Amino acid sequence: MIIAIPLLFAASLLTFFLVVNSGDPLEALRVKPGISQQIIRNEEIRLGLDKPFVERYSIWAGSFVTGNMGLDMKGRPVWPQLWSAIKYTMRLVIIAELLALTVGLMIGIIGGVRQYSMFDYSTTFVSFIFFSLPVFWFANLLKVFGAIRFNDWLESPGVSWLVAVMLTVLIGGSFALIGRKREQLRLARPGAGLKWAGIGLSLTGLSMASLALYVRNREFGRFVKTLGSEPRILADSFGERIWGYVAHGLLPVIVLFAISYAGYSRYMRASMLEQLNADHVRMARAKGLSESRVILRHAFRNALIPIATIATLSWGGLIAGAVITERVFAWNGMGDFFIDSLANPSPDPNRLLAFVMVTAAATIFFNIIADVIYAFLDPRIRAN
Amino acid sequence: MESALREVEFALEIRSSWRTILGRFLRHRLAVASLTVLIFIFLTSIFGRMIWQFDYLERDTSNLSKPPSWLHPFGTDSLGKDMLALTLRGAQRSILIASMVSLLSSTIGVILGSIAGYFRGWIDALLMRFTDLLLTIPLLILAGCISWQFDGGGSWWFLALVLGGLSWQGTARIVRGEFLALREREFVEAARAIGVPTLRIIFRHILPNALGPIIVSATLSIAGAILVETALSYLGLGIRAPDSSLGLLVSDYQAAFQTRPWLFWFPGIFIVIICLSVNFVGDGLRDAFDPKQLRTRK
Repeated sequence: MIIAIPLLFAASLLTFFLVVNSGDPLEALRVKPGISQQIIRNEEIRLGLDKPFVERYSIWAGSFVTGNMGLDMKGRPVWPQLWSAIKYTMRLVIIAELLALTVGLMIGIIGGVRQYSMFDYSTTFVSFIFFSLPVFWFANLLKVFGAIRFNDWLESPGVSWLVAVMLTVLIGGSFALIGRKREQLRLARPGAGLKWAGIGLSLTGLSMASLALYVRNREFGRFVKTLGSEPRILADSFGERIWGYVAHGLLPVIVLFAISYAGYSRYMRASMLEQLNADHVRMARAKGLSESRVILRHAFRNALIPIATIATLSWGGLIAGAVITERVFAWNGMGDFFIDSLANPSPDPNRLLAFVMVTAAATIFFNIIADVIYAFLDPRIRAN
Repeated sequence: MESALREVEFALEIRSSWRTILGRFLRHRLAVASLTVLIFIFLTSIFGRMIWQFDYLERDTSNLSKPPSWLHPFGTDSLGKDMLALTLRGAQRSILIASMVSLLSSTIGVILGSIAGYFRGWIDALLMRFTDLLLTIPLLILAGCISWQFDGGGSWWFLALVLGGLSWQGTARIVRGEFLALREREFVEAARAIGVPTLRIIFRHILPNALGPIIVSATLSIAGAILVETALSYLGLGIRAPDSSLGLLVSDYQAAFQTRPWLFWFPGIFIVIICLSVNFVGDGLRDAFDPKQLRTRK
């Protein structure tokens, strides 16, 4: 934990070096016609560009420690701007991460326990697809199909015959397969495939019908939003306000969820397999413990240990994903902040530094949390 | 009798470990199919431009914004550029960059990882803290900062250098782990005892035994590199306008999705197919090198 402070210091030195040596913040000003040397000189003095590296660094480090993180090119303090961006991004990232962790771990456990089952194959395939999806492309796809076309559909709900037949075959078929599987495992009587197909289809039909009735009696407007991080005008009632946030956050959360879900489910599955093959699990089975106890107490708990590392490592990917996602859905989060400070129109050193430092600090903070979780999960570390 | 014995001996010798691994890989049907797809895309993206009648900069002004047809299988954009030629050019750039990144990051990772794992002590501590340091800042952010600013920014080799130079941490950690375990083995001890020089021990005795995980991580890093490169180009921080990249194509044509969907679909699908095949090949290689993850015992 002590390592955090020198690590943060080294990270700040590295980024400062990179930012200072990368491009001229006054580039746009220099090429402007009718700007005298004196004005450029004054700007250089105002931004401290004339000072040597060490002095610039110590001035910046001083402003970082005291809280406002320096002034940006336009002379406004950086921290308040960054803080308002962080609030949006954190809301997005935390919700998506919690969802991905829960769903990913659950799918991973089931995939590990039922290795090479149909469930395992299909979830593995889905996570491979998520692994290979370019975030920006997926986000754009969702924008059109999850929002624009879906909103069109909400305005005049209806299902064509082709889609209805396809849905019936798909749902009935998958339920029939489950029933058949249970029949083969002798968990159900012969003829279960047909029975399951019937149950599945009627359940789905019922829920679809009630959903259709629900939709028909309501005015949704264009519910799913594609731009902005929150409603422009906040609604009066609490419930409507929540709906507003949901409508804006739904698609970005789905995108970020897909990014980290794939990793969690894959690693959890591998980790679970390793534990299930370990001697202590064999021992637990030999003692005659119930299967659920073996899986949850003896395998799952130990399988969680490597996941703590994965969770902290995925943070970087998540921030990168958030940068892209916010770009596509026009959120005023950290992604927007980053791109703006990089290229609007020339780099803004203090803003960039603040952004990178906050990301690095968060990474280090999550590493510390992972260490704590390790100690909690792994008795060997606790004993020391 | 003697000849039969010799035959058996010979037959046993042929089944070297590489052959076993190859056999195991070939049994992984999905991986082999993906490898075929990958080679096909690779070859068409490199040689396709010589055969294909349209160049990626050429404008077919009599066919503006046309949906896919026999003449233009992927359609054309509003300037009459052939989408197939553009996509192939983009794929070529993306694959080229990703392969270079993978090569570079594996080399750096192997060198740093083997030094850290073999020498241990303060060298190890120093190198690993440096690795931690580079891991604190997301690759996309770091690479974006650098490649945006420098004069060389926008050219493919510069982007490849930056990404390769910044993404070796995973490989270094894996190699270090392998070296820490292997350096304690008897054959290394024996080599040291008969006075084999250190470099030779590292490269001749230990490294070949750690090759499996290295190859797997190098393969998987191609997929990662393609995703990062296309994302950077999408954000406008990577490959720039006169040149082409799959990410740049998606960014250019995303506004046309509703009206001319073919402009949006093809570059994206190419990224997905390339990455998916690379991931499947990597998975097959992992299974071939490390057949430990068998069915669970009940």
